[in-house]
Amino acid sequence: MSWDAVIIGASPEGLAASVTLAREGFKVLVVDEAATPGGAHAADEFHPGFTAPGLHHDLPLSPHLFDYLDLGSHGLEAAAPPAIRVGEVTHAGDLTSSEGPLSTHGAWLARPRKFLHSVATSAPPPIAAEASAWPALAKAFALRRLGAGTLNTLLRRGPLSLRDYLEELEVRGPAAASVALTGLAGSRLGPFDPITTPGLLFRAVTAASEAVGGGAGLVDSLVSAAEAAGVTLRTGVSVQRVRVGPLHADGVEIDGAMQETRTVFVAGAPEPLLARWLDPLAIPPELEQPLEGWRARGDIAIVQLALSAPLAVDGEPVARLRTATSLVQLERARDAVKYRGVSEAPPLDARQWSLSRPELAPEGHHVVTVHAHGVSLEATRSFSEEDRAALGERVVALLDDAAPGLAKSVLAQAVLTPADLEARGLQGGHLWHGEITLDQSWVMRPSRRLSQYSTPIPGLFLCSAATHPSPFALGGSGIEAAEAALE
Amino acid sequence: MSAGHWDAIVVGGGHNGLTAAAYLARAGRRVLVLEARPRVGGAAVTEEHHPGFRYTVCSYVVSLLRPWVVRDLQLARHGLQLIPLEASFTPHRDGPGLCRWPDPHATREEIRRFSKRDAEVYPEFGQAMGHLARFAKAFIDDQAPAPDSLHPRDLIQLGRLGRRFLALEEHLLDLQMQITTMSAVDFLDRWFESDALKAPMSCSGIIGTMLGVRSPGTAYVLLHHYMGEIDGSSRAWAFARGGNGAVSEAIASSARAHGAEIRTSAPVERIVVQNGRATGVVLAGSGDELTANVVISGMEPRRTFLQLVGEEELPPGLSADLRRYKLRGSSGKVNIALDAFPEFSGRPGIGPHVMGDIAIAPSVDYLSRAYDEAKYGTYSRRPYLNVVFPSLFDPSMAPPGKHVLSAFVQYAPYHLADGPESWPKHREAFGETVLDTLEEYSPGLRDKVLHMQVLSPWDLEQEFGLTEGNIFHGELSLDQLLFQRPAPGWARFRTPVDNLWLAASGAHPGGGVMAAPGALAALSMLEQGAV
Repeated sequence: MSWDAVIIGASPEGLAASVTLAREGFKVLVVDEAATPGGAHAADEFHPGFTAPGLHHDLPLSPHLFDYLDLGSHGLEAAAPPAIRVGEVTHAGDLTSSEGPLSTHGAWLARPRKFLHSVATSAPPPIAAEASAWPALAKAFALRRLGAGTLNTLLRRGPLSLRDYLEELEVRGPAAASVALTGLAGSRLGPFDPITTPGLLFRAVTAASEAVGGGAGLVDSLVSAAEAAGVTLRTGVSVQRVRVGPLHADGVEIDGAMQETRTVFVAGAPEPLLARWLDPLAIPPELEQPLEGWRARGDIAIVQLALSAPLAVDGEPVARLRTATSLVQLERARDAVKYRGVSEAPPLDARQWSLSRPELAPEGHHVVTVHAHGVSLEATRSFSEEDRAALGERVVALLDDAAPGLAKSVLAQAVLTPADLEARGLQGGHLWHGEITLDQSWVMRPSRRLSQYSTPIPGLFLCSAATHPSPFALGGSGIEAAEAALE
Repeated sequence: MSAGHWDAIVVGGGHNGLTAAAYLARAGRRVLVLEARPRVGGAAVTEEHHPGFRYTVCSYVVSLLRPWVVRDLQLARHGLQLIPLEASFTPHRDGPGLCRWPDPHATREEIRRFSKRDAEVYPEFGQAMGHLARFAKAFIDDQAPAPDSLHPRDLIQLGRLGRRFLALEEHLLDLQMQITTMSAVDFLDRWFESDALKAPMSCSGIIGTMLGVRSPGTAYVLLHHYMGEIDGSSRAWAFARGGNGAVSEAIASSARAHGAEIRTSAPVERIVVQNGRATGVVLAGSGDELTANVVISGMEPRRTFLQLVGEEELPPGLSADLRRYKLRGSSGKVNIALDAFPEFSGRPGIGPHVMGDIAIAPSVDYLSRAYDEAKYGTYSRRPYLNVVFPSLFDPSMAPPGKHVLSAFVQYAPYHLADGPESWPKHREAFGETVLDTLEEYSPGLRDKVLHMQVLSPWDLEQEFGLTEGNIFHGELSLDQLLFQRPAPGWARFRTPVDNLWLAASGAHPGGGVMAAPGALAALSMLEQGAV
């Protein structure tokens, strides 16, 4: 069997790449070692009758899913994310909203919003002496066109710590803690650390709408589009190696059989490339060095809850609930991670999926997934069964403080520590396959050269969440990588 | 009442104010420097606080002092003598610690005790940093670029920097991008495995800032260690014979030789502004008004504008920027007169290992925890210390057989949980913490103490005018560097008040006893015919 492209990883990026390529008439095989497609976004029936629609809480969509891939006709829907309850406050899930406790933040963002959105959702410009300088200059001109005032404000606020940024805009209290948590997700930094504001700005401008039905909703429509385009999808396989021929990457051994191909896309964690798939002698240093220096150390544990009654505060069911009400709480939780430990009081971020998708749970029952921030990969690697259960209990107790009565309604819980997520194929147990800090973002995700999706091995492409713009625009990396390959 | 007229009046006789004065006087201008304290130098002073013992009170080593300033002002002829530091020693409690030497081979042997791999990589790292430092110098020896300007000259400057950047070799391009965005520890993690090596190396990233070694944006300061140009060699740090006061004295002497007048104990009450134009200053006490064609501030920007000029003379955006301007001092200084030399138990004797700077930085987590305490508003129970013994370089600093110890102490946050004004209450305990820390590495040191001067960030503010105790006149963070120092649009020494110029560390390129802001400001003024 011979293919034009073999895509390893049926993640949203892998599927988006497959649709892009198949629509150009190419023969595409998508494989995944997991039993169901979707990667971290796969539906997970963690308790009989109770399904979590993926592990992620934020589902920003690449605009190209609608305009290039026309996923709207395959059932993809985008909607405003639900409001977020934190302490006594509720704020919009759209973090550019100019109303409510985040109004000052939303109001100033109105000017640079379009520029930031375009940076956050498109391929990064190449930075190299021999590459065309035009893409980078175009971004610079777009920035300059915002006017000297906005330009200066953006350049000054950009490198700030979230604490200083939010203080400057007079966003305080629980609302400040809530948006800071958004900005910090995916990094090991605290709100007192400098250069934590860009994470918030990029997330804010891409959070105006999200996939309806969680990650699984997005995956369903991508699978439907892929099938319609003639993509072959195989899950539950074992990938043994990627073969590099004299000219390019030309084969992938799957379940013991070599699949001949013209190109190979890695749409899951890049780690196995070095560890398992490539012949060590075939790995060029330009690929090895950036991937070896790559930081992907998870710090979020996920607790999936099957509930007999809705998660509610003051009698009102809440779609999204956060527990940290001050920046100091967030900072202290990150301190624990810094020393490779587990926070005593991890800030929680809970999503109740079954409110908008009742079919995820039996009638009258509910599904909630909780992100517990402040649980280091290193600590959980040596977790015992008791440690895991104790963490689950602590999370339930903390959530019960914010939503009294919750603990009584828990029918079942499943705890996924960063070490568990690592075992499921997420690099470092990290939800985005790599920490999201400025030095691992945009033109440097995962490295300056590799940010263009191609690798020093001809025919081998990277397009997982370890590349831009996936963390801010799901599907974006897959589409951009496919475009790069088509060129 | 007018008491005289000058071409330029410099407010503040710190090393930058003196440098600006010297450059202008050298160009034939009539210059007057007004210093509030009884001696010139600001935070670069040497003083005797215990009979026979001279302290290099605040700043204590020379590293980035621009060689072209030394040449232009003929500072050697005016008495400046620099003695290169020979070693960088990190004592450990349970062994000989780590010593880094000017000889790379000797350093490799030291590192080998901790990691063979790191020993091999170390010279390569030094070479790479040397290349990056050369690129960085393009920024500190010139005006700040102005990305918000459409003036052809500014666009050309930006284009030239862009081309120089892209002309870097492949791996240097990557490193350059990493070093401007990463934390010191993350950056070092990509090269080294040994905690004992990474800890002292990462320290240079945090000096004077309210940031931790794991805070992003601290890596680029590692370059400072490779930018020093002492005696034309690339040694990082030097001691000025006579302490850092001698640097100020040499610049002052050069300024006087060119005809500048310097008055001490002459505090300025305010800068006189008429119709948006600075016309002179009013002296505190006498109330005398001195007039000048231009007024140059050698002080920190917030103090300059909000205290001496007054908010009503500023555009509203700038007042807001200045109030937000981050000072947040994070360090203190302890000077100690010693009856005898305090040996380090892990490496005894007065050998070459103590002829340099000595860092109390046993591990990355030690430094990180020191920061954690400070960020919640207490001084570190076990701080990072940078120690030198000035009396080893210059015997005249102490009586024969006796010694002076200078300890830079971090973290000592200006903003304590119970307020900065509570520092006097904590000062003594803070000093004890420093002694306790030193005692762990040099048992018996405490018994040799004859006198101790403890300067908290509060004291640095009260005594030396370093607002919030910040030794760099403002944090050297990405949002306060280059074209944003001290505020966007005002990074070229000019200010919104006509004829008022800024020429100290709160201006580009920042602090570190570089003398660059003073020199670049004066050169800009002369070039633009402003004086």
